[in-house]
Amino acid sequence: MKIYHQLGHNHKWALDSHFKNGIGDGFIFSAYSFKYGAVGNNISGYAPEDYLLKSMIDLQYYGNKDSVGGSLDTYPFNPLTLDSTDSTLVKGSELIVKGVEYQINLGLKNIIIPMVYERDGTDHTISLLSKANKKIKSLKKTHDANKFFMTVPFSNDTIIDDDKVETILQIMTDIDICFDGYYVVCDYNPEYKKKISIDYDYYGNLLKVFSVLNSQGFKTIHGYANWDALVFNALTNINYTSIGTYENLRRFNIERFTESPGGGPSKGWYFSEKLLNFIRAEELKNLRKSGCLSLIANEKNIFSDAILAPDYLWNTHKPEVHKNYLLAISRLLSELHEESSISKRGKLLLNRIEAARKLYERLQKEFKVYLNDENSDYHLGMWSAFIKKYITY
Amino acid sequence: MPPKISMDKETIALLGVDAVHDTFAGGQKYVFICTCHGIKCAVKMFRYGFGVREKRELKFYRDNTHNAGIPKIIDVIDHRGETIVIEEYIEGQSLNVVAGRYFGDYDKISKLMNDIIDIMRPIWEAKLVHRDLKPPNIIIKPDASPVILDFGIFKDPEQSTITDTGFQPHSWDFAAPEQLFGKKEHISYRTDFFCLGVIAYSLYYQRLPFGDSKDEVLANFKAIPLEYVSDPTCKLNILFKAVFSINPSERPRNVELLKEAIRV
Repeated sequence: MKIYHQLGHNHKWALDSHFKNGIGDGFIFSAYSFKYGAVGNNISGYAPEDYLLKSMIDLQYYGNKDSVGGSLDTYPFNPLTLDSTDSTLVKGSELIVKGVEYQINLGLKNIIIPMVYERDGTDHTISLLSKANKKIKSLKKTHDANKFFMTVPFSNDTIIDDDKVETILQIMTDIDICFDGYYVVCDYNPEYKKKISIDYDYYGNLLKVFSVLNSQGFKTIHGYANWDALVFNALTNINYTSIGTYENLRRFNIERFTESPGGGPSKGWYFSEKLLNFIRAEELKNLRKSGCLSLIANEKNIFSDAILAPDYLWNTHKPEVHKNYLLAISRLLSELHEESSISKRGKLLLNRIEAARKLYERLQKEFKVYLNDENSDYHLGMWSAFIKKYITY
Repeated sequence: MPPKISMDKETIALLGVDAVHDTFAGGQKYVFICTCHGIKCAVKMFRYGFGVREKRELKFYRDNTHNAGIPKIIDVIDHRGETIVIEEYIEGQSLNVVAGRYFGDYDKISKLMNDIIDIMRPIWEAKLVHRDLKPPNIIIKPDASPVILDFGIFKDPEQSTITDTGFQPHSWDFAAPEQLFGKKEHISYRTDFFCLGVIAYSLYYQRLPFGDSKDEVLANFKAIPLEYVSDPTCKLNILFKAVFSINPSERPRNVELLKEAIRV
């Protein structure tokens, strides 16, 4: 398993964390955040020869004709260039080829074939996927050194629907599919004041997607992965898992590509490998006052040390706030993959979950610290039950 | 007692029948095993006329005439408004008749499976599905090689399915879950993979994996994962595990992976 940085706003931090701190193995550039022509030139002081060989580009056709935002309109082959009368199936497949050729010409080895997003139906996705397969089949004849990863964006409505997932999976794994693998991104709906999903259908079906693709010999990239990627990595083999600084790089949300972004001020969040959760910066004061901050602190993590210092001025737009997460999550993911079997990985994560639950309990009983909403252990019981369903003792 | 059927004199003269060796009355057709002009062949006459299903099957045989594992069409004759199909006679015995020879014999079964897969490979790769693979539709020739019969209900995704006309396509005992549950949209070459698994299991154990009645099989297909009994030392367990899945997406996606599951 390789860990790739999902690059977006303030990408320099992720690039620095890789080149200076050894975090992650490569990068997934986003068309949204990099103007056409930027990739292939110096980026944040890094030369193309330093990063291109370990990079991929997500061209982000998700919004189709309605795409808005960021630098998407600088790409001459983004579907937003289509007229309202253009057939998205015919023209769309031509744009897919143009996007692929652009990446090949850049010298990228791993090519992400862009795909539009469909909220409700699967028919258009399936048709476009089949058309793209035919086009890539002929491209592969002249580019056999490249690996082609087809993008499959799952909406929340689709991923929680067993039948739809099965239908799409049958097409994805059909006998004449020529793709080397899939770039899977998945929208999900966390409950109010929660950061990640605790929906069994979401976990079960997304796990099925990765497991089936793996068993059928496809390579997989989990794009826009959040820290729930720990669960998927504990229970199946995923070839590339992304890590991201800002939340919009850890949660695929179609609205980002079809609506102007909103957002408000935030001091930021502290990711604790001990609690397997993000804790709001404001809560850290309480933990410190109660004398239990050290219990949730990440170990051997210089960024954590820096941001937990008493005089640290928290702000979500500071690099070390995000680098703390990048380092902690990449270590957790790597630790799982050091285990020799999926069963052992599952047990290792279960142990971490149990320890986290006990720590939450201890914070309450011993220190009277009650972490609520996103900060609470809302996901851990569900994770534990879910993993137990899949591993053998 | 099988129904007695006979061929009228005019047809006998038309086809040049020297002798009729055997007759069968199937659900859709009458079959006469004859010698015509000195060549042993199967003469097929159709009970309910030569409809879409029959025309499709005939076209299939003609398109696949190079495939040694399926019968060849010798001639098609229109006679008094009826279509008579004269097909190559396959010397051998039906697999259900000789099934006992395969009991507990991994080597024989794996060879048979590989032979069937080789016959079906171009058909599956053309996105066609047999949909009724079962021992009675497989003839074992004297050299132990198989020939696959009855492509009458094969599925071509480019055309409307036979089931659209109301025809029941499958026998429950060797059918895949998507067939028994009527999920037509999930029927593909991987449906045939499932049926092959059931054939392999039934040959090895001389019993069906999921029950002896349709109700029992249906009840079993509602269980996840599918439950069946197999000796842990059975060398076909990898194949069973690979194909016995309710979800077609979880079965091997191509012939190579299917064959790999058969190899120990």
